[in-house]
Parts: sequence; C-alpha cells; structure tokens
Amino acid sequence: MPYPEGSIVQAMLRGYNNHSYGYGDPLNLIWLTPAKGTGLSSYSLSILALSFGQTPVMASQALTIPQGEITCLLGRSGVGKTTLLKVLAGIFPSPPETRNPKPETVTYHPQQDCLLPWCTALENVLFAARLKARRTTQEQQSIALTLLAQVGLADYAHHRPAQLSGGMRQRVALARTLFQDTPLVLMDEPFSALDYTTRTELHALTKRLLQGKTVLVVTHDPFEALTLGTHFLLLEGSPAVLNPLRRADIQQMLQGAA
Amino acid sequence: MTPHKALAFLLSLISIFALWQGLVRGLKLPPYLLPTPLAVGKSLVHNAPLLALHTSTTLQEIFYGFALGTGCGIGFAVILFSFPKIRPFFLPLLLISQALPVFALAPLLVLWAGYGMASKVIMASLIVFFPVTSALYDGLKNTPTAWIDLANSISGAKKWLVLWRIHLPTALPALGSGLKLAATFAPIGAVIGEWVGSGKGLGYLMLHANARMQIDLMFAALSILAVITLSLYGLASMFTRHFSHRQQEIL
Repeated sequence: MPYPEGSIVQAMLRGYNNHSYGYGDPLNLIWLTPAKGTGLSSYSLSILALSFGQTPVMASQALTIPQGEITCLLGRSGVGKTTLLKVLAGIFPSPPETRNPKPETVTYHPQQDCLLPWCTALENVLFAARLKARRTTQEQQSIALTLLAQVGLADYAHHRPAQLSGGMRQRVALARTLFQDTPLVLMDEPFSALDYTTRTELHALTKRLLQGKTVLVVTHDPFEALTLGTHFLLLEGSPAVLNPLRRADIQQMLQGAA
Repeated sequence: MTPHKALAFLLSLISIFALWQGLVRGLKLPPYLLPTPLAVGKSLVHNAPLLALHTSTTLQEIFYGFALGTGCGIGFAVILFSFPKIRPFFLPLLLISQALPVFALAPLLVLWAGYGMASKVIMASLIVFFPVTSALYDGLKNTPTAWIDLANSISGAKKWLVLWRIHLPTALPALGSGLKLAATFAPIGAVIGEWVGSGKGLGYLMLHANARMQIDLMFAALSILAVITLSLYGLASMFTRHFSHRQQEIL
C-alpha cells in the first residue's frame, strides 16, 4: 500500500502516540484524498492506523470511495464508525502528518440535530457563517432561506427549535449541512431518532438534495443503507477492518435476521 | 410570581407575624429583648428619615459591590475557560480566595480602604466573586459535546464567536444560579463591612440601636435588609427564568 513517505515513522519519532489530545489520545493516520490515476471519480481512503492510547482501533487498509455518490458505512455499535467519521471531519485533533481531507471541503452532520435552542431555524442554518464572522451577509441569508424552502420549511424560518417537530428539526439540520456546500459530507446516523414515516421522507429528501456530493453515511440500519446508499462498507473486527459490501450481501443479512 | 403563589407567601408571612405577636404578648417578653412586629412597624414609620438615610448608603454599597464582584467573576470565569493552560495556576487561587473567611478580612479591608464606602464595596464584591465565577465556569464547561464537535468541524470558525454564540448562551442559566447566590451574599458583605468600621449604613445603625437597647429600630433595619435581599434575589431569578425558558429544549 502506498503510504505517504515515512510519515508513520515520523509520527512515532515525534511521539504523537504519547501526546495527550484530551479525547483519549487518538493517534490517527487516515487519508481520504482524491485517488490518483482514477481521475476525479473516486476518493481513496487509506487508514494507516487508528488507536486510542495504546489500544488499536482500526487496522491499516486502503479503500476507494466513489465520488458524487452515497456510501453507507455499516457496523455494530462500538466498532468505531463514529470515531472514523470524526477523524475525517477534523473534530479529533490530528498530527500534522495526517492527510485528512481539507477541513473546508468537509461538512459534518451530527447524530442529533444539534440545533441551538435559542436560535431561530434561519440562524441555525447559518451556523457555519455565524461562527466565521460577526455578521452574516444578505447573500448568505438568502441562500439559507432558499435552503429552508427546499427542505419544506419556508414558513418556519423564524421559529425556534422547540416549536418544531423532530422531523422538522432534522430538516433544519439538513439545510445547515447543505449551507456549507462542501464536496464531502459526513453523516453520523442522521435519522436514527425519527419514526419510520418521517425517516423515509427524509431519506428521499437527502438523496435529492445531496445529489452530486460525495457522502459517507454511518448507520446501523441495513434498511436505511439500502434506501440511501449506492455503495456499502462494513466495519468489523478488532482492530476493525473495512470491507466492501454488495447490495445482495445486505439483503442477505436482512433475510438472515428475519 | 403568580397571584396564587403571592397569596400563599403573604399568608405565611402574616401567620408568622401573628405567631410572633402572640408569643411576645403571651410570654410577656420585655421590648428590649424582643419587640412585637407592630412595634417594629411603628419604629419603621417613626424613624423613616433616619432609616432612609442609612438605607441609601447600604444600597449603594450593595449595588456597587454586586456589580464589581459579578463583573470580575464573569471576566475571570471566561478567561479561565478560554485559556486552559492557566487553569492549574489560577484554580487553586480561586479556592484559596474562598477558603479565607471574608469576615476575617473585614478589619484589614477597613484598615486599607478606609472607613468610607470603598471597604464595604470591596467586602461585598469579594463575597460575590466566588459563586459567580464558579457557576459560570461550570456552565461554560458543561456545553454539550455534540455542539462543540459540530463547531470544531467548521473550518475557519473563530474562537471568540464559538464562545459568544455557543458556550456563553449555554452557560447563562448556570450564571443565573450564581447570581441568585450572589444576591443573597452581597448584603451580608456590606453589613459586615459596616459593623467593622463605618459611620453610615444599616449595619452601623443596627450596632448603635443594639447598644442603646432600641431593639425595635434594629429589627426595622433588619427588615429593610431582608427586603433589599429579596428584591435582588427576585431580579436574579427573573434573569435565570428568562434564559432557562429559552433553552428548555437543550438536547
């Protein structure tokens, strides 16, 4: 596997595995970069090693993620799906040797809707802009309003989260993710708290609105994976390994469960 | 307060006064030991100009002390929170500042800052400082991790905007409970300061009334202090309710 030159050695020499990060010392060495030779059609995901302190979490491996499509990442809870996503999203601090995707190309869509209760729906959609500058521009506001209209909440721009239903809040969160408008979107079990009907509606909406973006969705629900994704990965074992799955494999998993 | 609650409060107040009045009458306690509530009321009316003069001094001390202590407390909490590296240096100092009984410092403060208002303002602000700092600091630290993760995932997010738009609003209810404590402490600080050395204020008046066996006047001053404390507490709890109302829905 073509690792970037000697970086794991450098990382070790510089003692990054002894460095305290406050998040249980993850030594992350993960790359998600546009793959060479395959043009712009895929990202290569190379994991060199991922460990919390001395405990290895993920084994080294290389994979490709198709660009412009939705890839679902399956696995039982506790296997490290969320960790992988957070490393990619740049939430866990990482040593400079790592080549995580450039932060400005990634949007992280968290597990809960994470709306700020004292902000209106519009202000929540503008979340990223409001953390970057003191004032939002007229243009940003009109973009946010358009996005709210796209998720069907045009009339709720000035409502606070407490006045919205769980499904509506998740729509606002979706608009917030769309507002950042990055080529890569990482979603962490985005619809797990919703009822079946609402979830199905949101699946359709997500597929439509995120078209053309490279999306990695973490889920533990094979049904959700089948509805949303076109490509599938299973994270399993300890230290965990990512294995590609086919649609048929998941259908088989479901039949086995039933 | 709803009318219902206000009525309940009034009823309990009246019954306490009635019990008090009955007890003093029944046991035939002399007025220099315990005056009846009616006598205290009379003294309130009779000594109104005197009480007003001293109340205005004490009120000012409480107000300035509360403002100074709260301001410093908020500033210190925000600085401690924003710069984790200085925490090991300053957190123990903060604890020590609380471990020293402020009452023991009162004579020193009067020596250093004089008989006037300054020493009382410093007393009140010292006593207010700790609850405000510790409540706000804890509130800032208790921001849900999910929000912090989301903020961290945004490239180019400014630190002070994250503080201003996420941490501080989250911490407002906690700050509110700190302010409630501060509201009840500030008058104590001012009065202690006046006891140790002053020529004005309700604390000074109480000492003098006590020495001259004017216990009714002392109780009158005490009741004014209680009203001041209750009003401050009311303001602080209005602040708290306003902000916890807005964020009942936190996760």
